[in-house]
Amino acid sequence: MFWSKRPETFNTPRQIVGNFKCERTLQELEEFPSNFIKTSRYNVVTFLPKSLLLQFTRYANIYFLCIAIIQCIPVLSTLNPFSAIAPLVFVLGLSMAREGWEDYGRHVSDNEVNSTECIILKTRVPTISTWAELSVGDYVLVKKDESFPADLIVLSSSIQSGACYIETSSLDGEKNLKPKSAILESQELYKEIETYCEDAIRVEAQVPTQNLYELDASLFLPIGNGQQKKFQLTAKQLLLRGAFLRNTEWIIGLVVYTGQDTKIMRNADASRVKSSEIERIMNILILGILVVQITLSIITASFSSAWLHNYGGDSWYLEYTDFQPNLLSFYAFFSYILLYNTMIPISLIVSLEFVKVFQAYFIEQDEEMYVAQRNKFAKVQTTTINEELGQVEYIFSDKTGTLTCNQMEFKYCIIGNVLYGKEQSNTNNPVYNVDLKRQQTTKVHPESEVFQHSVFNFQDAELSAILKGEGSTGDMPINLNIASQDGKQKVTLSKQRNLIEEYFFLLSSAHECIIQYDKNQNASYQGPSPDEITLVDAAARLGFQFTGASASEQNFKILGKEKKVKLLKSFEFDSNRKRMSVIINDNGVIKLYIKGADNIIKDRLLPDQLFLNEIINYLDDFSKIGLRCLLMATRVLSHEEYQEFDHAYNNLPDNETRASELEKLTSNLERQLTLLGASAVEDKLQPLVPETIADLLKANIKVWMLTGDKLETAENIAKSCRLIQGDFTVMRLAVPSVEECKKKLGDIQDTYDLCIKENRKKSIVVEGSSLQFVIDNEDLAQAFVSMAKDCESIVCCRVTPKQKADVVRLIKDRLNKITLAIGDGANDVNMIQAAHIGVGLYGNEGMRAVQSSDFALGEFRCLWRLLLVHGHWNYIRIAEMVLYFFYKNMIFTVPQFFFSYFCAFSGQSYFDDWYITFYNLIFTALPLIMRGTFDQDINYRQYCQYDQKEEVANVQRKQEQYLRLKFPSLYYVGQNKTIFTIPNYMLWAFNGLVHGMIIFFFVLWITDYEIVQNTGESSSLAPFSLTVYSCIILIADLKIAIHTKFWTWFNFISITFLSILLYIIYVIISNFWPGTMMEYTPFTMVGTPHFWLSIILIGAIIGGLEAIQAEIIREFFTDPATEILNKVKVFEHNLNKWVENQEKIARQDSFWAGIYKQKEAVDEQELVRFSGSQQ
Amino acid sequence: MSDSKGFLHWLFFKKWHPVPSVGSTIALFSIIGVIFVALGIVITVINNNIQEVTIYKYDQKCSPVEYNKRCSFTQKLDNMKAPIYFYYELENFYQNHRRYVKSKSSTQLSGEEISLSDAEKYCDPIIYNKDLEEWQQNVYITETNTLVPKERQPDDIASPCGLVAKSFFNDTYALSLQGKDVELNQTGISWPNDKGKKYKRAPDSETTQWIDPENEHFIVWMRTAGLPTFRKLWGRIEQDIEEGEYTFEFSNNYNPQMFAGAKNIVLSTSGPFGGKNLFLSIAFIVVGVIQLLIALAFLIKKIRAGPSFGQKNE
Repeated sequence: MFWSKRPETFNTPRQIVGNFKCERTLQELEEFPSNFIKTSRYNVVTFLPKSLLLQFTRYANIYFLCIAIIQCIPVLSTLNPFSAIAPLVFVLGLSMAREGWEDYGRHVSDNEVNSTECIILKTRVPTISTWAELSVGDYVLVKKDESFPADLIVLSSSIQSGACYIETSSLDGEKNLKPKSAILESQELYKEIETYCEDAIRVEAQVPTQNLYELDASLFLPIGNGQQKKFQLTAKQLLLRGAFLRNTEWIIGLVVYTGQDTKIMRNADASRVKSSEIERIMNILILGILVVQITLSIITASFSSAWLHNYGGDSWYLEYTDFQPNLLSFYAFFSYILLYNTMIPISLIVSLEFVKVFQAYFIEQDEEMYVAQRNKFAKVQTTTINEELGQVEYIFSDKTGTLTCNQMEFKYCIIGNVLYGKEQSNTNNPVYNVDLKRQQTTKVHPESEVFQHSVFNFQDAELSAILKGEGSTGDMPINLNIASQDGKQKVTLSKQRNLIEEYFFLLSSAHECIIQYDKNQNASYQGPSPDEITLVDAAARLGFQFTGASASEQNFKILGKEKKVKLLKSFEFDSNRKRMSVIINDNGVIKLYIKGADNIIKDRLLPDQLFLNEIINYLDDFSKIGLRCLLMATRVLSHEEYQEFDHAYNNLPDNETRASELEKLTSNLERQLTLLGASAVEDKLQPLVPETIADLLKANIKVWMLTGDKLETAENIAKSCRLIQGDFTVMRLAVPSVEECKKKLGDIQDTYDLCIKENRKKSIVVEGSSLQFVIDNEDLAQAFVSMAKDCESIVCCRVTPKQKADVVRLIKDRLNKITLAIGDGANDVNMIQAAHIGVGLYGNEGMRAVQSSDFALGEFRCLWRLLLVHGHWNYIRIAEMVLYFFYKNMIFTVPQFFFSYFCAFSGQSYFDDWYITFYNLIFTALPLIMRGTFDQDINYRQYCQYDQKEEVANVQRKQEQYLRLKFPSLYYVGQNKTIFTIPNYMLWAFNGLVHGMIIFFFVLWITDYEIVQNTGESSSLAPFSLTVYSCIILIADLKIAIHTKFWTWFNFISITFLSILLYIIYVIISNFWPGTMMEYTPFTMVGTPHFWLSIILIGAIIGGLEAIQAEIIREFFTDPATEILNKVKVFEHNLNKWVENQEKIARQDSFWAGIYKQKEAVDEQELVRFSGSQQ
Repeated sequence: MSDSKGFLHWLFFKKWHPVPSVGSTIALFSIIGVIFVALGIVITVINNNIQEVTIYKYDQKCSPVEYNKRCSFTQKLDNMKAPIYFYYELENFYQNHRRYVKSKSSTQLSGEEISLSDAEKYCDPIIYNKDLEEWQQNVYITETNTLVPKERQPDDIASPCGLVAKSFFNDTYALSLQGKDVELNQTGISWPNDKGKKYKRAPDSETTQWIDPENEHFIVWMRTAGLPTFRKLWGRIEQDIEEGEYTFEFSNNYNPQMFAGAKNIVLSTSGPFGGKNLFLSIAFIVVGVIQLLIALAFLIKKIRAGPSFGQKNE
């Protein structure tokens, strides 16, 4: 409609010719999208129609538009048309203003980006231009610390080797530098800015994609005589728009993708709109009410028809000139649609939005979710699903960086058959460790804290001795022969010392890390994964220092001596390969160094390995205590073998199959390895993870851990973070084929049934491949889910990012339960997006997870407060708010309905026009919003500072501890959806009906035709309506006051000043509003005793009804929250007594007793223990 | 939400977490119950002192209804204390009918001239003089309710226009005891502020309007009733009346039979809370008693449940 479509021609593989002169015709310009970026949606002209159109994609707005249109037809309209249009305009105006404001921001940033200056090289002359003017094929000069104006292919760099470093924090949040480099041949051609080659070069590139780390293109460079040679380009040559050039003076780049084709723009997803379950049900209820509204209108209209037929003609005072009862009752139908329209709340959606934004604000302000280490508060990115935080039943958690710190400690290494590192003190006590660490970090200013991926405590006297050239075991004979396949090359490691040196040299060589120097010239390693950094760091600290690399060389300082080797090829680590390797030329010997996951490397070894058995034994032990292990292996290649490979590598086809071909090629090379050793790295747990998980389990939330680790490691981490506790029955599913999977699942089913029978807690550990069988097979999936859904915890190991998302969907689609996925890395993005609620952690692996999440947290422990406290409150707040909203509209519409009987079903409005409009918009809006923002069934806060008096502090501590113990047991409120239920809805609606009837009929009987004043004047329509309206306002406020459990000044002010006082002011205004029904009525009316007697009587009746109802509910449904509240309130006096009396107090047989008995027992035991320890 | 953010923060987040206890519930209910019962008794006593006499369907004493036909009947009345209010009561007359309620022009009634389009907009279907009743077309009704003959153009905009004005209730009454007139004060019968503010005479009222908008019977009529059966004040007897056979003389102008309704006369004295209102006294007593019963029930429950009940709630 208004949106321009992307031309088809943009979506074909492209041929780009380097534009030396940087001039082009108009036609050439249109070939590719321009580099002018437009993220704004509107301009001055299109804003109004476009944003209006957007507003009317919401059903509610369409409905209210229809109402407003009916309102404008005089014969149907019962009310002033403005009174219906005003709220619509208000709501639309608010949304549109927000839309416009956001778009203005986009305009500003667009302009800023488009007018950023960049340097284009026109026939070797640097010319200043703007980003917007850039087009495909231009040569661009980018200097240090500038950002790239478009996606470029680097042709040359100021560094001789062609290397350059970029920082992509604006794309993926990763602060570490990424090495890129020009291919050698182009570096040669373009290394001088003044004299670079002017011959045409050509690039063939594929359709632009979203993947940041993928480039599918080839470069054709002139090799003289007008000939061109083809070079395959990889992501190493791709410089991304928005990224910054670092550590490099300048680069020359060729523009390949511009504007909307750039990776950054392709990755800029439109934000998703998530709607919560409550909102979905609410919409259904609104539809139901619409049906009720129409039904009531039909009923009233048919009564109207009956009345007209019987009396209409006779009622001479109505003077029907052209009397058509049927037509008139047809009109009456529409009139009543308008009058009963008050049942459907226009402001509910707006109020909900407000409330959720406020709730989000308080989540973001919560100091208990502040993580000092990262200087981060919680961040809410999707405000529409706040209440679902209180309904979570399944949590899917990533392990690395989420449960664990992603901080590695080099613990052990096995070189040959010898294990080194035994002398370290055992620090595998995560909580204690972290507490110490936190104390340290609080002293340091958080911003100055540089996160270290690796911790080094490694000590081994023997190893140090050997490395110093001493130590007797260093001379232990090994006699390991490593030969190339054709036997032409051979390396012999005769002694343990040689093996150790080879091992550490491998560690310092086979990696993707680079060196970064900080202000004090301290070197630190930066790399794609913390494991890798840890290993390189460890090697460096043991004397095998990696000092830098270029595209073709690696420099080392080994045991004090400089060493250089030629780096021939490097194959990166990825989650599928699970290994990384380099090919180096070490003094004429071409070696392949590889390190990777044990199962991957094991399969690729030559037969008859010397150390395999010993190493495998050690690895089994390691994984039991939760260490991450890698195997190191090597292979020697003869020059011929390498040449052959190199040739094949350069002639890889230039199309989609390239990636898989390359995979095959390298996979072939990474075979016939010789095992050298292994390393074990400890993954530290994050603070309070075990406690948090234990509490989440107590809250009846099932926690699933999804990790790429091997089964034993995963199970171990699960144990150390209390995901699997001592009394759990653990079932394991790790099978190689579908058939066995079926069989095994049958076995598990038996164990499971037994557990259910004996009421034991259970946990399943599943391996990635078995999980795949389950996901792919419908029957298995069914069987698996039916068990897994009730398991307290599930551990999935060896899973890929895609599987993570599949697991989430497995539960989400089958069970219709609220799921939450939490993770910190790019590999969790799929999962985070698949779940109902995605939580991203500010991690060390970049910002991808945070960017795609709904809530961003600093640490896993914040989940406790986010779910059990904020989620719990928000569910109650939102659920009760929706219920109350229906109530207050009911109570307002019921008098109108009954009045229709007394006005001959003529469609006369019972209330004055603006009174109707302001009811939802002003008089009852703010108390509701305030309650929705602030209400708490139990106030839970941790004391930032305890009271100075020791006794008071003691009580505070106990109180806090008590609440901490109790809060998980309240979570069922949202999880079991105990508030927003159909019976509850019916109850509230029924309440509204009864209260509305009480108000209407009592006022009717009190003031109908009676003499209302002692001067004899009788009542009339206006005072009647005013009295009823005042009662409604009073009852609406009374009801919300009764249901407000937690009072702040905001609640108080909103009820007294912003509701009642505003109403009084409006009543005064309406006294002088000429032409309205109320004119000159209120002043007289408030002077009459009947007015006040009505209000007092009705207030007392409804207050009494509410109290009785509350008492009945309290009698038949025990509310744990109230009990806890009572206890907290009297904590100072009788905590100790309470603890002593716990066993004596008989628990009432309540509705929830069954659910709670079990948990309470555990809780109370713990509390008894706790308070015992206090005394 | 910490204590560290200063005074405003403390003020805004100072909170109160009320926990209703059984004791306070009992106290509250008892107090309200007692007050209500007391109020109910007071209202009952007042009600018993209020006298009310209704003369049903007085028009039938003088059928058929004709314009300006004067009739009379006698009615025995007891002693009544001044002031005694004289009402007429209409049944089954929908003054709150939508078509009826909106058919008037408040601008015109406040003494301003209105355009034809406004008249059509607000007063439909009674716009012109010719749309009025025949007797209204050639008359000017003064503030004191006397009829002065006047010639009018049938095609002029009727003033006041609209259905409410046109259906103006025009029965008049006189009361006498054995030939001696009992004075019916017909001033001060409208709502305060209505006369002179909401309803104002046009500058050239006599020539343009068929009734003076400051005529209080008219003002009383124009304040549309909320229910189909309604009473409107017609006059006030400002002296005590003694027992006797009173003669009611009236002009039986208004025809309620067409809409299957009735018209009655009500004589009533009033108390501090207005007229006789049985419902109010009963309601207060009943509600008060129920509140007391609830309090009692809570009390019994509290005593019977013993200390554990108190433990749970206090």
